[in-house]
Amino acid sequence: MHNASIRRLILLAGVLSLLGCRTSQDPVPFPDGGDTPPIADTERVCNDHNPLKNAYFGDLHVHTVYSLDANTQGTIISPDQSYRFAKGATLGIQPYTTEGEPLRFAQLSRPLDFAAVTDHAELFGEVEICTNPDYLQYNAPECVFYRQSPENAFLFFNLVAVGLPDLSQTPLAALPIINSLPLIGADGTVPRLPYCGLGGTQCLDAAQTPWNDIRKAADTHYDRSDDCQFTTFVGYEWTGAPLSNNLHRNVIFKTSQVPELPPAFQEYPEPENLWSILDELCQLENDCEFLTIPHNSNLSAGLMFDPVDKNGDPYTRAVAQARQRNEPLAEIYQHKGQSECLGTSGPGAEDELCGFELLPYNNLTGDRFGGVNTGEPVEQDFLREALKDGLRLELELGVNPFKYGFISSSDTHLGTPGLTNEDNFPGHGGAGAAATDEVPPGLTDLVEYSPGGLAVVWAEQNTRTSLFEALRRKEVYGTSGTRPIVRSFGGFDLPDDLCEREDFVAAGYQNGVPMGADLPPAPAGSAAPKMAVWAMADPQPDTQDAGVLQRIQIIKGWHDATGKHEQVFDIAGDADNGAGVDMSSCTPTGTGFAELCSVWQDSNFDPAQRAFYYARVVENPSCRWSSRQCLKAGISCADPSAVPEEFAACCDDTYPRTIQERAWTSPIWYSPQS
Amino acid sequence: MRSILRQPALHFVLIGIAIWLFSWYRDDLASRQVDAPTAQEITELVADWSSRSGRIADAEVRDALVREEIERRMLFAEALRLGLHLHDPVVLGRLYQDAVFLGIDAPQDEMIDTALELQLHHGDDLIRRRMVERMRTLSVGSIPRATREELQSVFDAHTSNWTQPARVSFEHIYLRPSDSSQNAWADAKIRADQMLQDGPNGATDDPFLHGQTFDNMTARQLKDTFGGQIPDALNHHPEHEWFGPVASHYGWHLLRISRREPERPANFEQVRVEVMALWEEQTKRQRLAQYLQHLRARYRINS
Repeated sequence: MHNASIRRLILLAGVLSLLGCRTSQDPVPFPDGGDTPPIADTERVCNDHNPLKNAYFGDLHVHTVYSLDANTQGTIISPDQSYRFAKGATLGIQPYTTEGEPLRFAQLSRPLDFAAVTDHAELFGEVEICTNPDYLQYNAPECVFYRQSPENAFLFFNLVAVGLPDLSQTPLAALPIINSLPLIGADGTVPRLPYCGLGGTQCLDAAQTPWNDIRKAADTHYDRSDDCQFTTFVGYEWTGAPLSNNLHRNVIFKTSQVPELPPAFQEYPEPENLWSILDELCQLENDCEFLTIPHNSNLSAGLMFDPVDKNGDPYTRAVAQARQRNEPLAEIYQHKGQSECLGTSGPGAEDELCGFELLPYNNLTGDRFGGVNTGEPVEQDFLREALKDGLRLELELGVNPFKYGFISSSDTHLGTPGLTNEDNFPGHGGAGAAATDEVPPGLTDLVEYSPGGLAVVWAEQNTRTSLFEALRRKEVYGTSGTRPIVRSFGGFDLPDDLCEREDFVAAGYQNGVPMGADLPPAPAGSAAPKMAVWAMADPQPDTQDAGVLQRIQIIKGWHDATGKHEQVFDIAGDADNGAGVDMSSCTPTGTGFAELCSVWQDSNFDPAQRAFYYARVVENPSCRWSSRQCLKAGISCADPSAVPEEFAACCDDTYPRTIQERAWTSPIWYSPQS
Repeated sequence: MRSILRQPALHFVLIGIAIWLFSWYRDDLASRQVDAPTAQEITELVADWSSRSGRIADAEVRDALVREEIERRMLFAEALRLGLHLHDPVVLGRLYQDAVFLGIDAPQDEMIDTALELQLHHGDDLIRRRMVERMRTLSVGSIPRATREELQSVFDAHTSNWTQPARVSFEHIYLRPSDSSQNAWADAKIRADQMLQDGPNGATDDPFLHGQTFDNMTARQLKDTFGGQIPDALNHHPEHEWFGPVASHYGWHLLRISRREPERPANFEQVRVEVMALWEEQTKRQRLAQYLQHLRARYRINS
């Protein structure tokens, strides 16, 4: 090497060390900017503390620059920027000019109350190394490939590092080359890419940098004042997807006390491994609690709710207990469709509203490879079916492993939590459409995708402790992106006139249980449980949103000697109210209800049958995001040959033109006393 | 010892070291100089500033523009001295594009090497901006944790930047339309008008899920709870008197304000994140200024 080069390198090293370049051991300050410890979260009393609880709206599924799939699509939003956006700040988003200027901007019409950045942990270190020239492995062949061909790198990194490990257990005769890849190692872990070094240590070490930044951003933006305006959670996504069949889980921690590194799929390739190691690591920390939230069961090709353990054996009581304890919630709706119901089989499964935002394939490669690695959606991937199966398993094992409460979130890969409006939807990236170099012509996302939803938590106040405990007890609901208020109670002693009373909430707690809870044992005699639901439309509907409700439904699922059953009951409102949308202007038409309330009694109740009940609150129709963009682009389907190719989806009748926004409450369960 | 000192080999080594050091010093000195902007370049800088700001640059502005340009040149020169451009993916990608533009036909690595030998990076504005930006980032380094005293000092100096929102406490009487039709709203309004005329105290209203009395509500909370005209109405009417009906998103309301708290300065804890951001911005600015001062002491500016 030339002398000048050597001198430059020596100088460079010296200067960088003097200037304080990033290291993997940067401490995470806690709390930011304070030398005195904060008041313990459990002892705080916020200005809006309400023993009868307030509704807080948030997003628990957010990707930023640290997620491989976001980063390879050009997302450079940091966790810090993402939290600022959630609090109401304007954010410049992809694509960017060569000078780094964003070509699009986004801002929430209303700030969120809480959020969690949940980046994919599996490739934290791999991405960090490939994007930071300070690492020696920066010029490793995989990293050169990563930078030169990010779209292909997304597939390669995901498939090799995360998506293929089960192949060795499921040999494909037609693909001998893939089957010969060194997949799951002898120790049961998935080998990391070669540049990660022996045992993946280089990548695990590099993973510390993004993890520390995620923790720091969460601590910085958690409002510890008495106003309690905004709560953050430290979190990440465990990204298991064998053969692209989705098993992803978001891990949410209760406090700042979290493991030094997030346990990832490569080292813990089964959900049971994940729960075990999180239990183990959390025991090393004070005040460390976690829960995992599966999402997109609709894209798991039958895996998400398959009650078999990591060895392929049927669930034991212990595994069922672990799942129930660690996984109280599931995402019922997000950017990549709903996971509520398919409605194709079983008694009473004729639910026309199951067609809502239903993806037409069953795994994460649905829109890739010409569809050769996917199939039709299957009933067992949907939460309603899983809840029913849980009742069956409870009968067999004494524990219900699928006792899920419901939330929704966005799964944004642009670092934009809560951006769930149909209007001006910029796409969410990730598995959807990317805008890496330019704003793509046509629709801003794949037509089957959507802006996603929000998680709503009933809690005494907006603090980590209060929200997390509400998440644990499932006193939560999910929305498809709008902000309706929904309260529900179940009980044998709920007053019939509850909807006419000023003390609906107090009486609900006094005489029943809230969403997410278990009904008490049935009293002697022939009493049947009642469900009381009060729903209020979003008080600040966005442009062209319907802004009013159409009906409230109760969905009952039960299990008896003849098998699993379900039935849908309209309990308030009017399904035939004639509401619609003027598609020439995207203007909602017809009347609806700003509020609905009803107390419904299950006249077919059998105290010997296990059952669950959840409410679905449905709004009047409004224009779907894709229809709004088609209208703005002046697309006319009268002459299909004149429609530009990038807007072809506008005239594809496979996809709906309107959307009936909705909310799903967590179920209330009933089990016979025995 | 003397015999060692008389050894020709030692003399040879020492002379070699001296020549090497002199060569290093000369190269180093040569690399630590930048040209001041020419009169033509200054004219362009001023014109550019005027077109962006819509103002005419006075002497002070002109001096500042020249100073900033010299700083950018020093940062760029220093980045090249440190070899940052040799490892920067954006720069390497740009050099490759430049080489393609010039028709250099070779494997990619060689094209970049050729572009470097031709010193194309010296004339490429994008590379220059990228290197300047990286040097600014490096010069700032990682910002340490601020102490409470440092933050408090920033907060005290900028108290007027931050306020707590105004709050209002009130009670209401709610009249619910039977649906969202105009007729239903008109009927409910007639009931509300009549109730206000008859005297609302003790009147039978419709139940409202969120209750009848509200304490210390901010405008944001009012919007999230009621929507419609309620936030605005509560901002304008006198206290302790029933007024209305006012439309929320849900129906008609008769309102009586019990207490108002005007907007007032925020306390430290309420704006800690914003204070930290300001402190970090100030710290970064100070560090960059110090680094630029350090460079100025070591660089020769050729007029």
